Amino acid sequence: MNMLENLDTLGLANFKKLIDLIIPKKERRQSRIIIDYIRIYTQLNNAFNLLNREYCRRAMEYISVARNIIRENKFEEEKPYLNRILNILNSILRNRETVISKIKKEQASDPFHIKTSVLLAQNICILRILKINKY
Amino acid sequence: MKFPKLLFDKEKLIEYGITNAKKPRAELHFPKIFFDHENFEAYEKIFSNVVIVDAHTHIGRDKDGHGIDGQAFIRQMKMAHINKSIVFPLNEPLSRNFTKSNESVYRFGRKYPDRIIPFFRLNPKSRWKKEYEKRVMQGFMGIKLHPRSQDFGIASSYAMKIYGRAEKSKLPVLIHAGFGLDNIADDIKKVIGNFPKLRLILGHSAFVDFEKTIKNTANSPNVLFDTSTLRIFDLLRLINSVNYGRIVFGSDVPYYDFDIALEMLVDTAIICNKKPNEIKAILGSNILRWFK
Repeated sequence: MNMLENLDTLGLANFKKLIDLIIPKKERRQSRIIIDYIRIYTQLNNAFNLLNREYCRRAMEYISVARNIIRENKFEEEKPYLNRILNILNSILRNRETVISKIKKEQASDPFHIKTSVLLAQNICILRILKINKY
Repeated sequence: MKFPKLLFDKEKLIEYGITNAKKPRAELHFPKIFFDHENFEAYEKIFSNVVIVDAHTHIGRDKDGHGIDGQAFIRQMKMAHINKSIVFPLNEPLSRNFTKSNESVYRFGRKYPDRIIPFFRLNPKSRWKKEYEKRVMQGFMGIKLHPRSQDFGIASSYAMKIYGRAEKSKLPVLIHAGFGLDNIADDIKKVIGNFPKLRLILGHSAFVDFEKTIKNTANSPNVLFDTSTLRIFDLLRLINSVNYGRIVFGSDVPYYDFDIALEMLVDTAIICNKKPNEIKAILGSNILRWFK
């Protein structure tokens, strides 16, 4: 019991203070931004790999998740980039059903242009990660 | 400084729907541009007296709905500070021999002769000879082939006939070597072997069969790699493994953006420790030497 109490006193509040001490506020903010970009990139990567006849519906779900991550993001300074990615994802999701039916009908046609769009969004994420990491 | 303003650009922000306000919100926070402020010195050197040529762009409307018209194309080019673009048609619906879409590119090229380097598109499986003659007479500067869209092999007998004609008339051929294809290195080797003087641009740098293609084209100075729609990791690989003299800048507009493609290339090249004059060559002079 004593030990648990000690842990509690030493616990989260102190841990946060410790983090504040070790990692300056600016860097913490940058880390969070980078983590968000990694999250978006990961979802897009999953989608990219599933853009085939069998799993295209699931790919769209991953794109949807990426869109939600962007919508939840509160980092104002990243808005231009995130909006750019959002526009790309919106244009894919707007035509979701047409895209799925086209992929199912002919796997070799449309999916590749969607892949290019997803690729563009992924590249923006990577570029931002590289840049933020340098500041 | 004359380097692209990209997302610092108010018009760009409005175009992207980021803001409608007179003063973009972006001005309130600094890191709004893709270009890295730490590299300003390098940018100054790269973008002074540079002619930026985009070696891979389309106009028209594709079967899949993607498209761009001439006006929007020129506007976006200016925004990204691209001086010239190699332009060819998209895979337009009901366009078996591309006569109509080649005509659009011709008109576009006539309207902007200083900015547009027109390439015509052919379907090797159609009766292309008449179309070929007509476009060469009109002053088109090269040919675009797309093995996946027109469903032919890179080294198929259909395509070989076109390479032969192009080699004779010294017309560069830009061939799609990206999504939708695989194991293309041996075919490319066969083409180079048969037509050693053919000027060949590998669209998307043949990233689908990259290592083997680099090996197979190592001794072919007439083969260029365009950087359009590459993953940033593939671009790093390309810049690190292929001589800068054989890399040319490409965007694949309207599937991609001029500015993001440009930024990605310049920054990746800086990461790879390329010198400003080498990056300048990639951005323009490597491809321009074919049109002198």
